[in-house]
Amino acid sequence: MKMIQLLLILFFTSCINHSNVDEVVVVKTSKFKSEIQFAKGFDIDDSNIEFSLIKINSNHSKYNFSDSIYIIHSDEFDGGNKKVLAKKLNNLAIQSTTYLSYLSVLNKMSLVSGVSGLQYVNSIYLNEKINEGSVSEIGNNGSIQMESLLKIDPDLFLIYPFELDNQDKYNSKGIKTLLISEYLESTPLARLEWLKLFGMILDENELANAYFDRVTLNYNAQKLALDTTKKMFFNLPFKENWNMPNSNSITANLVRDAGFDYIFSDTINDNTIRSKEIVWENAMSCEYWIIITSRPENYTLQDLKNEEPIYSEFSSVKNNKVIFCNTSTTDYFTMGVVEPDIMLRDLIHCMDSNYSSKYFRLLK
Amino acid sequence: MRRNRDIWLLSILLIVLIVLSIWSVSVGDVSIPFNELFTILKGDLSANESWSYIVEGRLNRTIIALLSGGALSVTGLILQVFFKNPLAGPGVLGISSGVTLGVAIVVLGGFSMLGLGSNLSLVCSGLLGALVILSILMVVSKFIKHSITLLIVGLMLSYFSSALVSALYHWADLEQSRQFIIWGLGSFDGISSQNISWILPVVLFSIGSLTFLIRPLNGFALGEDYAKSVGINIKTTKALLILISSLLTAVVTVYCGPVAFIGIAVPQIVRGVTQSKSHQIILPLAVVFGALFALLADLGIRLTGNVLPLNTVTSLIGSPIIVWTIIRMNKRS
Repeated sequence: MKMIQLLLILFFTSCINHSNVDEVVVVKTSKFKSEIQFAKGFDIDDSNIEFSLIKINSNHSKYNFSDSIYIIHSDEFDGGNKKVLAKKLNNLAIQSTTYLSYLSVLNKMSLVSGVSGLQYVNSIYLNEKINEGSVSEIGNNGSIQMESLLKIDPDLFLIYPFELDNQDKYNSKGIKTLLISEYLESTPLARLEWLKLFGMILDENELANAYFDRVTLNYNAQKLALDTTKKMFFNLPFKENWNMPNSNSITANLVRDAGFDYIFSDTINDNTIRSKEIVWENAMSCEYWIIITSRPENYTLQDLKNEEPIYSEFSSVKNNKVIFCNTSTTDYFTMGVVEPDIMLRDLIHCMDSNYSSKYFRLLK
Repeated sequence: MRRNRDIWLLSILLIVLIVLSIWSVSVGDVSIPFNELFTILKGDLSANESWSYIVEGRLNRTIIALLSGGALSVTGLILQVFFKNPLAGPGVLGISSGVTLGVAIVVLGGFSMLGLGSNLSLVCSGLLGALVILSILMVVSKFIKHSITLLIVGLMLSYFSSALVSALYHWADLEQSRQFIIWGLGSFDGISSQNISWILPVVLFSIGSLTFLIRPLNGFALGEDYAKSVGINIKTTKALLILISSLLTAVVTVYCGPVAFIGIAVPQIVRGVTQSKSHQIILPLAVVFGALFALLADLGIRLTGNVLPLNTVTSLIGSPIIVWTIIRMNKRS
């Protein structure tokens, strides 16, 4: 008898339809031409009247991935097996809280129903939603809990490229995914330009383009020429290794646009980890020191000196020219992504005593 | 004759250790001329200000490697005699895991936010963790006949501690977890002169106090009944050995992370090179061999661009020695 029950259970579970095919309700959105100026990691193909095609590529020698999604503008388009967004998005799941900055600019935070790493959410609005229970955690530290994800059943799940191997797993369960690799861009404006991609999938093209144009204008207006007398180096070591940004990274280019001359600008490849000894020898006479790291709220220059006795001998410390961004008390990793103009302004003006900074401050 | 051979061996090893220590201070990513090195070590001003800090860093690293190697090796030796098991060691018996749990409670448990994350509180919590594990092992060892069973109990205690640490990760933030994971990989780098100024006397005093316990250790090596028959105070000796081995393991583990294999492998090397059964010979050899093992491992790391974690190197050297010990044990039985 038990055997028969077991067989029946097996029979019925095998009949469960696991695929969750969306009912295609085509929303005819206006055809908007998006021109990509700086970003290298995605492109928008607007050549066809029936759809826009978003193409994601790795744009990096170290990685090899690609993704694409069709945004349909006409009910005559047959997507076939292609990944299509045929209806207006009602809810989103995100693997990185960085994406919240783009959603915030486009006033689409209300679409978020699942976030990986709730502790990194700084948004007051979203925190209220989390407390209400309308936004739930779908994983932590990069790992995704499939059951939590299925429970919220998002229209689109925005993922990191390193989640690429799991993409089929999500798609087989009816969850559409899109790789977002904004962090692999090499300039702050290129990273900001991913806003246009978000504008496209959320049908907020005009808002995205207007915001992008305004910030780009602000940024370029402030940009300074490289001043070779303003020698600088980055960050703090962890044990024996000192992790420095690649000279073609977003951070290094932001600092260069503020006129600083990065002493390790020869690091054009990924080998950016320097030994502590090398940094000590080279950084001693550097005029500026820019630190982007997580420290307690009221971190001071004295606290920095207490971390390592040699720091008191650095020219930057002696001359009070240590510029600091506390990643645990500022929105550097979230809103900083869409406010490169403010970050640039901070870097240029934070030495002024009357200046009120948002991201970078002079360490006192 | 044999004793003379051992003294010669010890003398040669000490010379090798001194030469390697000088080399350890002189090599690094920044090339410092030898005359400048000598000037800095004399306490005079160097041509390049950063060099004096670089030399200080290398010197501290060398001292910590020597102290940790000696301390862990001696701890392993004590535990092997204490539990009459050649495979005993702070790592295998779960004592290092006990220290790790103590440190994890302070670091990942958020007590550092309350100002309890100081070095002293870390050492105290680590020491407490080591003492708890050792006490459990002592109680369990009374009910166990086979020495291998004790190792399995140690392994289970280690798993249990690790499971509790994993649970603590759940409440820790990403930065705390990252720091704890990197600490767990082990390193002799980044320990300040201020910390060394108190680690040095604690380790030297603990190892030095063992010279007064050579007779009891020799007695224990021949069995507890024999030790009793020659008038050794078993209770006091046991308490002292537990305290010393726990203190040494806690101090080294808190500052350098749970360093694998030195405690278990080095006493095996010592037994392989000397036929002496006296701890008057075995103990200093264990200290010197342990220091040499740790210094060579650290030099290996530094010469390969500081890429490899300490535990990777000690495991690469230590695990074949343990396999060799197990084969030797099986041959004997």
